[in-house]
Amino acid sequence: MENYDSSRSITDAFYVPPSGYSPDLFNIMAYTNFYDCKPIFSDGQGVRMRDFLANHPVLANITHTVFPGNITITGNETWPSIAFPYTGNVILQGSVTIETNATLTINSGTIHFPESGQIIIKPGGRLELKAALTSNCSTWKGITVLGTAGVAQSTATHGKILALSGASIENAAIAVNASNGGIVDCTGTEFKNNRHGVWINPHSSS
Amino acid sequence: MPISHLVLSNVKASSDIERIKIAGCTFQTAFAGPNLNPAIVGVLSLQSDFKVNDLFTTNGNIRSRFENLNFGILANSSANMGGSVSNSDFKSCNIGIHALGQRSFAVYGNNFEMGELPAELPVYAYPQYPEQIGVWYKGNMPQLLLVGNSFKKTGTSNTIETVGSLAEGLGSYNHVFFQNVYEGITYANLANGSNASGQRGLHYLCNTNLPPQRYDFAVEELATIRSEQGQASGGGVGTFLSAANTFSYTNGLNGDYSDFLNEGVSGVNYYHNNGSLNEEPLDFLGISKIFTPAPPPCNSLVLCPEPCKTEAEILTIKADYGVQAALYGSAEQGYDQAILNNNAALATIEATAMAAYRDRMDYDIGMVLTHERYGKNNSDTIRKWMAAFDRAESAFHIALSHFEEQNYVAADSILQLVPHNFSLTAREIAEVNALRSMVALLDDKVLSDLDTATITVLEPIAAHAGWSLDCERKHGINRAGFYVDRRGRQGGLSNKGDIGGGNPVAGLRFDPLGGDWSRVG
Repeated sequence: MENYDSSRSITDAFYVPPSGYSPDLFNIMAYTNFYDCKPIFSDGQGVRMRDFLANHPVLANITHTVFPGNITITGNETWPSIAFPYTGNVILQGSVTIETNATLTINSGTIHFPESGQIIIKPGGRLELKAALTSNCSTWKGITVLGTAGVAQSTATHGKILALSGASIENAAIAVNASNGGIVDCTGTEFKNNRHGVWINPHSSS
Repeated sequence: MPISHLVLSNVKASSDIERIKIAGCTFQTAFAGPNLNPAIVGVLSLQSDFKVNDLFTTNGNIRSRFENLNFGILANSSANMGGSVSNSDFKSCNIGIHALGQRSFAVYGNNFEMGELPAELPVYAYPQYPEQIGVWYKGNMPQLLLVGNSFKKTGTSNTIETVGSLAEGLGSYNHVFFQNVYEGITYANLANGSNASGQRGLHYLCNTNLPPQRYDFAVEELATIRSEQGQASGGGVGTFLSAANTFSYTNGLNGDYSDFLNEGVSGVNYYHNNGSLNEEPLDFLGISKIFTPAPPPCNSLVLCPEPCKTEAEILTIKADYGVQAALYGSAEQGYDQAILNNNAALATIEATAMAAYRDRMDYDIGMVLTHERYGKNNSDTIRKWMAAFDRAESAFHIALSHFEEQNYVAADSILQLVPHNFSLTAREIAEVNALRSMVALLDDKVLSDLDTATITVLEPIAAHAGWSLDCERKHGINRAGFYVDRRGRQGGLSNKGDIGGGNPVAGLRFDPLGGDWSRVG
């Protein structure tokens, strides 16, 4: 306490802490001018901020969760799930591929894709969409539904998108691109600011 | 109470059309925010079938909507691909629907709100035409329908020129643009290129034009439309009923030909009836008016969004099917007895009754089938209902429902089993064989792809009246879309799920020579 100057307030920027007291001088709330940049939040601060944002009527939707890398669906999966637990705004940094005989159901939330991002539904795969898909900053590629050339359309041999009321697809180059007979069934879906909404490519089963 | 269904059973229904379905969806560009990505096309279809319509919900139908786009729907096909767009709204699009080379394509019950285009839309690419077009059909292609649509100026622009329907080079098929309403459009109906060859080709029937419009009908230089603009009367070659279009009379008689401007290479005979109902063109060029005393047959149709029938009404119709089936059975017995007694007069009466009851049964099934299909897309539901009757007659109807979908393989699979599942009379066995002969004749082809020799065989069957084995075969090809003939049939009912005179699509018959549609008076 030998350096303590009782004439100065604890809120004074020129306050010199006593020996043994070592606060995080990089913390955003640090009472110091030793550093110009103070980018650190304590765990408690983070908890309080998240709690405030989550419960604020306007700011609640600005919280984004970043999900790195590509995602491959090989079984039947419904989002939110244990592997993909997010229900609000999620930023994907890659693409989603739904493999043959796999089904991905997206029930809620808004998923943001990078410019190179897309959803690929392979033949026999299925996407059931009730959520919002959009871009992160500019545009994203959209959803590609792959079929099988020369084969009559069926869900066994062709990918399928089932977009239901509440689903929306925004800011895509091609929101839904049906290739080789990929099956498209959209009801009550909103397509907004896509360069092409639904693109149906040639397909013949004969 | 709705009085009619809008049934599109005549339009080619391949399996693919059930696989691209867009119902009650919205396609739009919002010109706001930093990430502007101007939409070009709502739905782009290349060499494919597709279907765009409204979404039926218990809270009412949700129409599909296309807004602020260059193309609402762009369909381009050089193959045998069809599709339909119905009960959808188009607003502030350069082109609502553009179909190039798409055959078996139907556009019905849509609204086109015109006279406004966002400045932010990419540059329009067709300077030879006005910048806003409702429906643009282009290319030599059969089986096009444009029925019951509304084209209306709702925007405030006085500089944007608009076209309601644009027909360009549709060839000599007997296309009918039927019962559309145009209001405030610059060129309500515009024809360019070759759309006819003599008495065959594009004609306009029962359309309504409301002021102000610069031209109700316009045919460009070197273009053609059908030389006879009127409805076939059924009274023989060269006789026509009124075209029954109404004119806007926007500019009166100021000599700008605003009612009908035909600058094409051929003159046109225009058949009209009652001038007091705006049905007589007054300010025109290149047409000859011909007054026909026959009453206009198409001025009171009430269109309703599907499904028109309530569940209770459908139950009544289902019950009626059983009643009519029983009556059919009685008439059948009477017919057999009359034949045994060599009573030709009675046999004729009973045969006529059988045909009428069969028509009624077909009507019932057509209604239920349409109802069940709508929103459910499951024809098997109705087939299960029919199968529950557990009688050969029901099996015939199940087979005929497959005819309606031009799924002849499925039809034949049913017919094959009928002799094994039911104890048939000799005539019923003959009926099975007659229908199976139709399957062989049709050879799993859409009707317009049949060769001339086959069509020659089919024509007299399609035109057959009364009861005989050919009547069964006629039912088969009727269901497949070949011919709808109400003339001389009791009850005034066709077998297409419509009430006689109340359906804009029924009454259209497939013209096997042209692979297209004309209207039966």
